[in-house]
Amino acid sequence: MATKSSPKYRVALIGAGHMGIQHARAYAMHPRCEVVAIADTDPENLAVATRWFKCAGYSSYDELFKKDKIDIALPILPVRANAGAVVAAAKAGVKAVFCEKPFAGTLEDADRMVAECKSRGIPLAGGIVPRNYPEYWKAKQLIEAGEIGEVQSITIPEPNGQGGCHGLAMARHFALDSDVEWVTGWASGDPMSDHEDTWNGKPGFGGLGGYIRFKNGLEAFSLGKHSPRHAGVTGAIEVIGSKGVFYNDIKGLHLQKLEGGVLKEVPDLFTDFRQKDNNNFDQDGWRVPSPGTQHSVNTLIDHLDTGSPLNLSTGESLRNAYELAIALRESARRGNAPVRLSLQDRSLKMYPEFGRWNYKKEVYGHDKYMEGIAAMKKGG
Amino acid sequence: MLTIKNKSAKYRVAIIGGGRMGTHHARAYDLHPLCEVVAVADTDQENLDIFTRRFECAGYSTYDEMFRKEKLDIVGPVLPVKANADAVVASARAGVKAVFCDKPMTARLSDADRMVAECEKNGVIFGAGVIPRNYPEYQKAKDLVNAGEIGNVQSINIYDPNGQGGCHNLNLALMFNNDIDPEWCTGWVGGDPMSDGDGDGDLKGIGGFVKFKNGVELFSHRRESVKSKAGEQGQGIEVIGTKGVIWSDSKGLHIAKAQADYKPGTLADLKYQPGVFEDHRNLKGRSYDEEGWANCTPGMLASVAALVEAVDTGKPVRMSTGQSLRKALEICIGMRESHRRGHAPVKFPLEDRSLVMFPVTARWEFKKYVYGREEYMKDIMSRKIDAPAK
Repeated sequence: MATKSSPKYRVALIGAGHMGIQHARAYAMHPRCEVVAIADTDPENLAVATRWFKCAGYSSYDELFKKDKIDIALPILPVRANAGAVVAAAKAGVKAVFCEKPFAGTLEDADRMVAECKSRGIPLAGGIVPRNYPEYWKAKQLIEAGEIGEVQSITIPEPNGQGGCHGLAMARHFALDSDVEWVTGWASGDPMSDHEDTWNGKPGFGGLGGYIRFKNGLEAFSLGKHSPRHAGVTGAIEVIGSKGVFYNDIKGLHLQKLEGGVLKEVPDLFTDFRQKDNNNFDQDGWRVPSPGTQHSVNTLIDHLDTGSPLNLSTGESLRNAYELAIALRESARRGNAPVRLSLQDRSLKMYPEFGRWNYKKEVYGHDKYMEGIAAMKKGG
Repeated sequence: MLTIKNKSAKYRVAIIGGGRMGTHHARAYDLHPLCEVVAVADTDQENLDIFTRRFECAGYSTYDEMFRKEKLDIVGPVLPVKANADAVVASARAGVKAVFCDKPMTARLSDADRMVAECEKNGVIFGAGVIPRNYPEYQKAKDLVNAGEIGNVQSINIYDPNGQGGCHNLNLALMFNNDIDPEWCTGWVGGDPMSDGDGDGDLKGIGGFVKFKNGVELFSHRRESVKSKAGEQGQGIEVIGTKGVIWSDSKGLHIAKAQADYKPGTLADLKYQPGVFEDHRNLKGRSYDEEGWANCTPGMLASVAALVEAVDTGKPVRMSTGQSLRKALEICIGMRESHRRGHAPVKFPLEDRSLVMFPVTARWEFKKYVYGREEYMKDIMSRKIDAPAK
């Protein structure tokens, strides 16, 4: 158990864009953490972030890991740089890694990231994704306890993007993380593409839909188009049981149970975890990190301190959702033939949108990018 | 008297098969102001005697003889499924205006093909099945979809494993998608995919994914759930449009619409629209009218009304048809074929028209033999209290 006299966790941020700053700020707010170092290849970002966090700055993570003893590494990077940074952090002997999503660009990279951390016993988690919200773990516990009877099927009411880190990860979550037996899938764009959106003038594979049969007998359908029932909800999901349903919409999370032949909502079950005002600033001028981000930090630190369950979007769950997304596209490539998991060909690639794979400053331009950073702290 | 047998109604109706359901059909025609039951054919003399006495009509031991001797406008073959294909084909050739059989329509695709072809060739309206697709609330839902109330239909969920050649849920899904042809499907069954049996029997429920030629996608869930049953009428279907949703549950049909300026993919604030649908489910127990007849279900009356309206006005028939049931059967068989081939995608139309999916024995065969005479006759007798207490 950690005590007041236990040393604080030394946190390093790799990639000081606006998302990196939000994550680092959430760690800085935690009484058990201090942000001690930042690495960024872009000197402009580095200058801003080191001034704000009053910490050491490095132009490469290799140098950072050489010179600083780090407990928690936060690679918050363009996806193309993510695998290298996560693996380097694992090799540097950190206690935990928390990265962003999408997770990787190839299945091999995703495997490598998971394996390098796992073999060293280093917890790896990532993403501002619904799986990091406590309410979805509460929902899972209620479902495991039989609150909606036996789960019969799951609907993902929208097409999947970003390597499945939202919808497919949620479906796996509520399928109790069962392995997948087989899938049939389809793509809204050109399934032969390795890219989610337009790349070198060629169309991407677009949104992925499909049918997923889990080894525990559950099935999930991923609709090829957004259903207005849930549209706009990140990680939209509906879990259908023999005695009730669980779903989310813009009003929050809902659990309905069959009562006298009618589905009735169980009231006051879930709190509204959503951040309604994205522009809350604290008294020091920092933009307040989203509740989901803060919860991720708390969960990770509790896990390190006490060994409590890592109820987060882990590297393994991100990799498995990514593999599932690739499998859906493989099925589309093979004329919607069923594809069995796990995938044998680990060299398969699936790149996220151009703007997520690459450095956003190069994609969207300097001014817009710096505006995003400036919005993270007043008077920056 | 509620009914007047004046032998001068506009449309002369004959029933083939005077069992319990045939009697139910016949009673609905007799209650229709434009129709009158004038003849019945049944190979079973006992059934024939009861029917002709009840309906004061001519009786024949074969439909061939009946067609030779009677001039008919509407024929209702209400038969064990094994006899249905030949009876529909014979009816279509008899110079009638409409044929209205019950479901499942048949077992074999080639039989379904010749039933549809013979009706189309002779310009005969081909109604088929007393099923939710015919009911006023589902027709109202279809009107709302046509009026653009939920935007363009994009996905349909069915929350009930399909049986009986898909005559209930798949047929409803087809209606909501304007009876567009399917392009391909993948599918699975709950039991042994190699069986030629029915979804309700050996196959134990048929599910799958269907992509229609207009891009609409259909998801048929494998297991029953809380979303799967809504009384006799509600079928656990969800029609998802670009701007709203129509669905059925244990309370009946419902509609919810997104805000006026909603764009797909943005936040949709879906608002329930109360008071649009009446609770029209056939939930009431059987009751009898003052003549002693078991009251027809609202679904039966609506089915006959839809058929007669099409005959009378020449407008397209707003009910389940032989064409739609054939499509539903073909999709069910396609889903099973996909499972047989390791869940490979199956393209439509199916090339092999000899493929077959038999309904459960009690639907395929004559129920009097399956259940025994006593139980069967109890069912027939329950359609009318023949000597009502005054």
